[in-house]
Amino acid sequence: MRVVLTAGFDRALHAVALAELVRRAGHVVAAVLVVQPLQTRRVRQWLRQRGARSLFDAARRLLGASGARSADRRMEEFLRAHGIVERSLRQWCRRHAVELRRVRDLNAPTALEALRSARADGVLYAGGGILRRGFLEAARGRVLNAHSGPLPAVRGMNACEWSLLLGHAPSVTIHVIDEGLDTGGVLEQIRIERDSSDTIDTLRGKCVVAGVEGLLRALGPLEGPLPTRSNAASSARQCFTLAPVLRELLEEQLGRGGAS
Amino acid sequence: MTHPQLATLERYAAHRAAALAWLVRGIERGDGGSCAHFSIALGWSRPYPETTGYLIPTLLGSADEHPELQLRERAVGCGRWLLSIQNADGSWNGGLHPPKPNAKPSVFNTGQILKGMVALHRAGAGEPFLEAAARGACWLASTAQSDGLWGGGDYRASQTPSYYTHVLWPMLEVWLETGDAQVRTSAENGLATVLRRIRPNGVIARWGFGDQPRAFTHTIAYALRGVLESSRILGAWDEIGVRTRPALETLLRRAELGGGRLSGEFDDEWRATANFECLTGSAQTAINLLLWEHQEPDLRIVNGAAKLVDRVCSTQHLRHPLPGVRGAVAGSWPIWGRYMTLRYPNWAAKYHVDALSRLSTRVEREAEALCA
Repeated sequence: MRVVLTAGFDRALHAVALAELVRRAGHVVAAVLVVQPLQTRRVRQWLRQRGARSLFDAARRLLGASGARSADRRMEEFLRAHGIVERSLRQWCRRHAVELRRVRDLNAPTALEALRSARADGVLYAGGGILRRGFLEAARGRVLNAHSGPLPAVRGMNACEWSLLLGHAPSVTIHVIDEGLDTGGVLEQIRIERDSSDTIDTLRGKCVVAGVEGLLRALGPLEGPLPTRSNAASSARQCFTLAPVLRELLEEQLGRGGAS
Repeated sequence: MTHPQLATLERYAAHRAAALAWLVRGIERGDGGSCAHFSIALGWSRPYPETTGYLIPTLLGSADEHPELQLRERAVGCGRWLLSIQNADGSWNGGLHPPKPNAKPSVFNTGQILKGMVALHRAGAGEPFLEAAARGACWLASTAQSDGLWGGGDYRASQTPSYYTHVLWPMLEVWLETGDAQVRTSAENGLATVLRRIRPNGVIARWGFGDQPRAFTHTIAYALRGVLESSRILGAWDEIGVRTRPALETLLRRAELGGGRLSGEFDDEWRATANFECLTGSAQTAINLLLWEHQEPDLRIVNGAAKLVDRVCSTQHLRHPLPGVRGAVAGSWPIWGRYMTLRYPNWAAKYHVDALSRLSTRVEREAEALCA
């Protein structure tokens, strides 16, 4: 099977892991679409949604400072455990002679052209922003995502955190991306095991690893008909980035071994 | 059992204390009332009976936590001043005090002052406050038309604006204390008229200052608050309060998408028509979101309210050398925006204090549940 992979930035470790494990599973990564992170529009949107403080962390990740967050450390361990040596999509694509296309936006004509010319059976989404109708049509609706929360209950951003705050067990949902926000048909719900030492960051790390593994398992179903959106898919209120006061509250809860 | 001290709650307490201290400075220069605003160019304004009235519940609500500010004494002082300028028919005049020679009784201002009178009565400050409130509410009921609204006496519009729900609510507060059925009936009639103005997208027609289809978030929030509080008093969330949900959902989403930056003005299709924020409107919207969340608990709503509050906090100077700016909240952000240009109104600080108090209480309740 031929798949296209998307990513929000070149050093996205989970995307590197996904690319390599897809290849090892005997499939073809036909192209990798990477969004250029340093665009005024993206930086402004980031600042609005997450605040200035998060920029420092984001900059470290963009520069590949592994261990910047424990979530990244967990992915680093995952890469080592699987003997994956590349730490950027650029390295991985060069080594395996896969086309890497840097785009300003996944919905831009250049991205759609690359997607069509790849003649892929499906797309594995590993970041890069909201997908519009044009991209979904070019992919014939065959785009899969790993969402770090239970769907349809927890849609949107910071899903791992919101799962805990809203009283849901942490989980990852493998689902089809459609025109709604986290509303596409669900392929698999993966429960994340918690332990008493978990923090928000470690749980996010577990979710990312589970998401990579779940997307790999979804390659089988990707060859057949995909599930469609359920009636309840868009009924839940959308989640946005956590305000500092609720983040502190959640950290306190986790510190006390609470939250679901 | 104690709950954890969250750093953000401590920060909120500092912002609230600074805003209260600023309000006290405005009262000290208010000749009995509270100055309407501070301007860097013109200094403190004359006192404003309308906002002095609704400032009183805010002062009383923080009195125990800030004994050093003598907020209860100041609230009673403001109340006595308002009693001294009440008209013989029970109304209060519009505008700043002293009024212009041609000043007329004001429906809206009378309504806002009722809140202070009722709050003082409930705080045990004395019978005169309830008597004044009763007379004010009677005047409102007696001057209302058959639809429960008022033909004249409006601020800028040709018809009674929908934000006059902010008059209907205090009328119902008075009814709670006096049992005056005429006051309740009149308020319910007005409420029914405004509810008929609600469009499918949640917009309440004529909720702005003038006749244009656009409105500052300040008056949008007034209109919604009036409905929310009236539904609370009447125990009619499912019939009345729930009608605010589409508008509140939209405001919540806009607040989240902007990371707490809410456009200061919207038209009747929810298009942002301002390139500034109306900070008092943002604080008021946070309060409305929390009132809604009280009925339909969901931390996602609290999250949006917190972002609005955080945003207003980020514009508040806590250490400014000018006492008129230190702790104040600007009308617009940037401060040269069209709403209360270059001024720091006392109602912006009041709503900021109220929003901080409600949000802190809500988060503390969640934190306490942790320890239960």
